[in-house]
Amino acid sequence: MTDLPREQARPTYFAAMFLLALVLGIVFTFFVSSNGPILMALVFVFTMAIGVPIPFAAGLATVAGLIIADIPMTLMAQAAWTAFEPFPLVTIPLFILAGQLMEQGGMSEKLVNIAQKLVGAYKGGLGLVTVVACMFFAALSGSGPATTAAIGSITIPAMQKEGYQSRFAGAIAASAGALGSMIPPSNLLIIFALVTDVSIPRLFLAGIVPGIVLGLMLMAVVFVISVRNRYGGTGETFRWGPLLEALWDGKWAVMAPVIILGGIYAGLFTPSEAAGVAVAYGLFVGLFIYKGLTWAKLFHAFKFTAIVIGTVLFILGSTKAFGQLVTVFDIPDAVLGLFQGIVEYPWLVMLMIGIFYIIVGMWLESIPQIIIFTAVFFPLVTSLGIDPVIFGIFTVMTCEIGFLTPPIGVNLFVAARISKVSIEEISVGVLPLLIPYVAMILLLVFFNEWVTFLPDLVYGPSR
Amino acid sequence: MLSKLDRYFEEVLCTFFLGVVVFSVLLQVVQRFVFHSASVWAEETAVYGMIFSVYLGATMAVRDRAHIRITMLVTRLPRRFQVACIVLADILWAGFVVFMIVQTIGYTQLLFEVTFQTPGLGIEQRWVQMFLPAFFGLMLFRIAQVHWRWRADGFKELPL
Repeated sequence: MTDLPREQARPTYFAAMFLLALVLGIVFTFFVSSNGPILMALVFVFTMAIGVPIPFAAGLATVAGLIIADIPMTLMAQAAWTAFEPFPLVTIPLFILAGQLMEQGGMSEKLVNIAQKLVGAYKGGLGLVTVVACMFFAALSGSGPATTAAIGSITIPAMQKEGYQSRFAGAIAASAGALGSMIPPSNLLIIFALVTDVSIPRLFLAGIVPGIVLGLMLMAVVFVISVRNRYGGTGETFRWGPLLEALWDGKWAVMAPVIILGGIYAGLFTPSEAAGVAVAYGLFVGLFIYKGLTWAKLFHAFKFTAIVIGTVLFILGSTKAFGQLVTVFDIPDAVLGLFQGIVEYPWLVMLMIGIFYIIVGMWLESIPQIIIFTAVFFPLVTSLGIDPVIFGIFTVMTCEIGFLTPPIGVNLFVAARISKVSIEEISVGVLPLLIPYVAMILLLVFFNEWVTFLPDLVYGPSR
Repeated sequence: MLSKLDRYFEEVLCTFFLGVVVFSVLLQVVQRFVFHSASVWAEETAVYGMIFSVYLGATMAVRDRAHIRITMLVTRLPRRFQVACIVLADILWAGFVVFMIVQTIGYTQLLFEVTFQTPGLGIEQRWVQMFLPAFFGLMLFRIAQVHWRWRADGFKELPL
């Protein structure tokens, strides 16, 4: 490989040096200083860098930590089972399955149709339609990539036909799809709630307003870009008649969020029960009303769900012991020491955590990120008097930016696959659409009282 | 026959166990609304169904090569080092799986010595938890299978 062009040779050396440095670091830490947290971090980064799948890299790092802390290894075996025992976890596969059933069953088309009648006529109509349809679908599904896939697979090809730049079309679907994990139900908020013992319905209520505001900001950006690029509207001008017709035609799809969220807030269902009802509803509508579900699609939906939980939730088992290690190594104290100089300024702490989360989120899946770092930062944040609910929303919001930034941005992968452009191109396209996200994070840091308004109204103020 | 088993074993089991989850949760809803009672065992079957489908889903993902890896650094290396990295990564992965097999077997043996009943179903924990080593064993088999197929392909591409 001597004929490598210069630009390629440099990253090669860089990559090799990086790996070498990590190995030396691990050897040094293990034999010389036995500093648990640093060894764990090094093992985690090294194993991930050479390509060990993330849950297993986390597992190896946990084992390294257990060796240093001299904790019996049976803990790992025990955790492999007990980590999955909290009942609310069941909500996650159920919502993934429900989202799949609703997408395959034909609900996403109805939602796109409604959005088309609502905002289709404006400049950048189809782009706006994508955002609005994603907001609707986000209220059915708990996952960002699923929302991108459900709506994007319909609207991205349509936008491309309308002459939208492919990378812009894909970027809209990716960025609006991320609303899927902000607007309740949300799998990420469930994970956060499980790690911190904050109430799930409270977090869900708190997610509504930021999700909608974010959606509106995304629409504004799409509108501005479309005006500059002269992407036209496609639908007829807005009239109530067609909208109501589309709403009536899509009534079964519109009813889904009403049942799911209404059921939770009215106190009829727990979130997990609501997820079960969502699956039943998706099955019923897909099989008997819209008749989009075939047996093959049904089987595929189950298989898809199993793969998602197998690759994503699996990490719970290998990192359960991680929580104990965080306490054993006094990591929250160490972090507090790190932030010692600035504890008088909670906003500065939030801002720094936010920047850190965004950087980590570029590399790590959101669920592992929330599990690992919430354990580290949550004690610090609550001791500064920041509302746990706000921190939950903040955490998920920063993770969403991670969904949208390379190298590991799942939403980008999904959208790139649908729009048939490279990840690099789509990550350029998504840049302007990140502005609303950054704006929302700043809002959450500086003026965040409004976030807890809705949950306080319904459930009374916390504490 | 064997190829059918290879193709559908995990898929069918996953579908079944996810079905158990859905059924148990719905049963709870119905029981609460219609009979104003709740059964603890449905909660347990839901959780066990989920645990089984998480592990089976994970082994299925090994076969479909769907596990999430960060390959950004590795793909920058020359081909020979790429292969070395990925093989090393898979050895570490397999090592972790073997470690988990050993630990879960040890833990299951421990469970056979004590009595530890689940509150809802009233069955001994050991009868459900003893499947963990089996799942990890299956995963080890799937990792080996991926490499076996990679060899059969004449080491083309990377076994990602």
